[in-house]
Amino acid sequence: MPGKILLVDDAAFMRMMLKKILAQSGNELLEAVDGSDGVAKYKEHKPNLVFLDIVMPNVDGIECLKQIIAFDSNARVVMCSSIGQQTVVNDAIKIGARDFIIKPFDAAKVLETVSKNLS
Amino acid sequence: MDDMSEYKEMYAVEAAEHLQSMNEALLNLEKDTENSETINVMFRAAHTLKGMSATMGYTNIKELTHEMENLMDSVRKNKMKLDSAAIDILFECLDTLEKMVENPENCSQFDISGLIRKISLLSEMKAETNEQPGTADVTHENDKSDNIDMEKIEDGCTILDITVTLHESCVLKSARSTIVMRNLSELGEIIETNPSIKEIEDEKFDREFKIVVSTKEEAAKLEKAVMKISEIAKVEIKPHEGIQAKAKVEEKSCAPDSNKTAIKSVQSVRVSIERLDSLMNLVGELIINKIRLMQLATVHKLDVLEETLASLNRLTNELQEEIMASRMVPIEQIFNRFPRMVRDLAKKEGKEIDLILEGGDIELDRTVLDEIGDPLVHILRNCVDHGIESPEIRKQAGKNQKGTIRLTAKREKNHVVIEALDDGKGMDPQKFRETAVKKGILTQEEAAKLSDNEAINLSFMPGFSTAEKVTDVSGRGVGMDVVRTKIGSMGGSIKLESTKGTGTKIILKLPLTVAIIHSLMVKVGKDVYAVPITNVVRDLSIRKDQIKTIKGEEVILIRGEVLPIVRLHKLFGIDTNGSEELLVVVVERGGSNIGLVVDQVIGQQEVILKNLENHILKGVRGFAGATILGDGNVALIIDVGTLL
Repeated sequence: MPGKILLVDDAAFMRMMLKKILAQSGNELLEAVDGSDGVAKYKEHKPNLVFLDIVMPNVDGIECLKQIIAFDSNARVVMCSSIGQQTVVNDAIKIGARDFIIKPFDAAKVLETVSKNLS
Repeated sequence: MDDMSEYKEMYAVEAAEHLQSMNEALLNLEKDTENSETINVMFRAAHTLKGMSATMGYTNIKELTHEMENLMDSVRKNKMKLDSAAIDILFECLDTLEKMVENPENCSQFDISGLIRKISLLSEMKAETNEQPGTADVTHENDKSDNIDMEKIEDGCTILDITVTLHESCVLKSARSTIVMRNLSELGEIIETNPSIKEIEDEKFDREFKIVVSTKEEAAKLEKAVMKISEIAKVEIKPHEGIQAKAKVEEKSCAPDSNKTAIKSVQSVRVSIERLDSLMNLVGELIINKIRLMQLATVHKLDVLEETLASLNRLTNELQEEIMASRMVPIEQIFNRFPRMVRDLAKKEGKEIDLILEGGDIELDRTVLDEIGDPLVHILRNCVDHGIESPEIRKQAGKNQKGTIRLTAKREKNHVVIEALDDGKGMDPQKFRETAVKKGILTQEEAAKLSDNEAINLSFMPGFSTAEKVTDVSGRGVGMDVVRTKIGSMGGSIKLESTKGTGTKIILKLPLTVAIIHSLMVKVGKDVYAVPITNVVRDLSIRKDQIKTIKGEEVILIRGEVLPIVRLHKLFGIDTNGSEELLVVVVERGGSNIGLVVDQVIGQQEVILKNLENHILKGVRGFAGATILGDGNVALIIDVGTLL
């Protein structure tokens, strides 16, 4: 069942990489350019899944996650992390992130994450 | 991700942006080493660039940015302080990054080990000096879950041993395990883990860990909940052996913060400049065809057609304006590189200089922006090299030890004016006169006739610059003729003003766009020429007998001023009708005026510059390019700066 996926990353390059991978999944893709945009887009579109970058200007990924979870405690958020950020990822999971993926993105893993979290 | 090529362009653009923001951040950190927001900007840029580079497989860039990120992370966590040595090293890193990003495919050819060593040395040193008792960063958050209170189990609960094996490709094992435990705790209570939760969080385990859960749910349901998680290789669930226990499990506090107001961001897409160029070109062609149609309608008196054409006219104008607007970029894109450049130059020469940038938000056509970068670098270099004096000399002259260079951009009607003003030693017109005579450019009398302003504008003369180096006039003018040629080829103009002892001002007047040049159309013989309106002062008509000859040069006298004139038909070798009445277009050139004698002044018109750089006009001085007129004829666009 196709759903809506929101990609939150300040780097257009990273959003593009994800978009390219996710294009195969048949879901509708939405984009947000930073944390505050991410929260706004979440509230507006109520996506089924969110890919959320951690390091961003204005509102960072953790703060964005908190606000999304506050708005919708069932939100399905996948953190996009780099190696070496485990503490932050652990924090994110405690706040309510469902999953995480590691940059650089591996297409198979990204798609696995989508199918596991959207089922 | 087999086809990375399409991302390369995007990578290049974004990487350059991050480098720029790091550069800016560093310059600001040099002034205020503890500004946490700037430190964060630096950290984020390094981090994002690292991620992008890892994705593209640019290992060296990834590694260097990784080191920079770590360094900035220590800084933002107050584990170390940025000092000038650290900032210098970071600047070095940026320089290397810039080179690598320029050609990222070959980034492996750069040796970054030296830089990495410097960074790690830096962090080690700082860590030592900063590591005092009590400042160590210890986390206590999950210690409590290590000691589980054993109490009696709730009725109806079964105790299960769950052994989870992570996939071998799993990288953040602790985070993955945290998800496993989170999902399980939604279905029951976690009594015990092996290894302990703390050890799991510290990643002190291989791929396998065991969780003891007290639950009312079926084992199959728990298994499903775990298998739903990514990167799980295997789950084994067995009834628990040994003590029956129940534990208190810590609750997760996730108090939501009050909702901050979301900032709306502008939606945008990136379009390559080539595409905009070709759009502009197409609109140009469209306009030319429209003008042809309009002329046909007038000639054949087709009223019906003229009505339709009026609305077509409006549409093409709007289309043209929209495309022009989409090509506009704020001038700060090139201003941004100057603080760093001036800093480095000043440091090298032992000078103290404040660079003040104003009007960075003024927008210019992308092409103009690309073209003025080098000239501005040249001008600023001159300001630092030859304008601003050393601190000692400035002190002696009773000036502030620190010199100031002020670079200002402002919009004036259809063009942008950029001024570079320094409070340095200025130029000595007398020395310019002497040099000109010495170089054989002017005779003694000619030189004496020059006003002070005209004298210093000699620095735009080709060949004058080489004289500079040997005779050490006030130092300015190295390659200034190149600068003028460049500005002139865009239909812009350049002027110098200077007062000895107090400073120099260089004024650039640039068209908003090079694609469309607002011009005064004139006729010489049968041919039409376009004179960019930025150069035109006024036009007037004179009688033939008003022309006087001074030293073999034709001049006219207007309002007591001597105005040299040039007959374009002679210059171009074209026949003319030779009437008694002569039309003169007065143009400004390097601070003084000259009159161009033409046969007819047609009027003002926007002409579309057709780039002929690679064709017949290459290397021909005096013309900025060509345009196609409404009747299909070609008209040359005169470049006043290089015409004579």
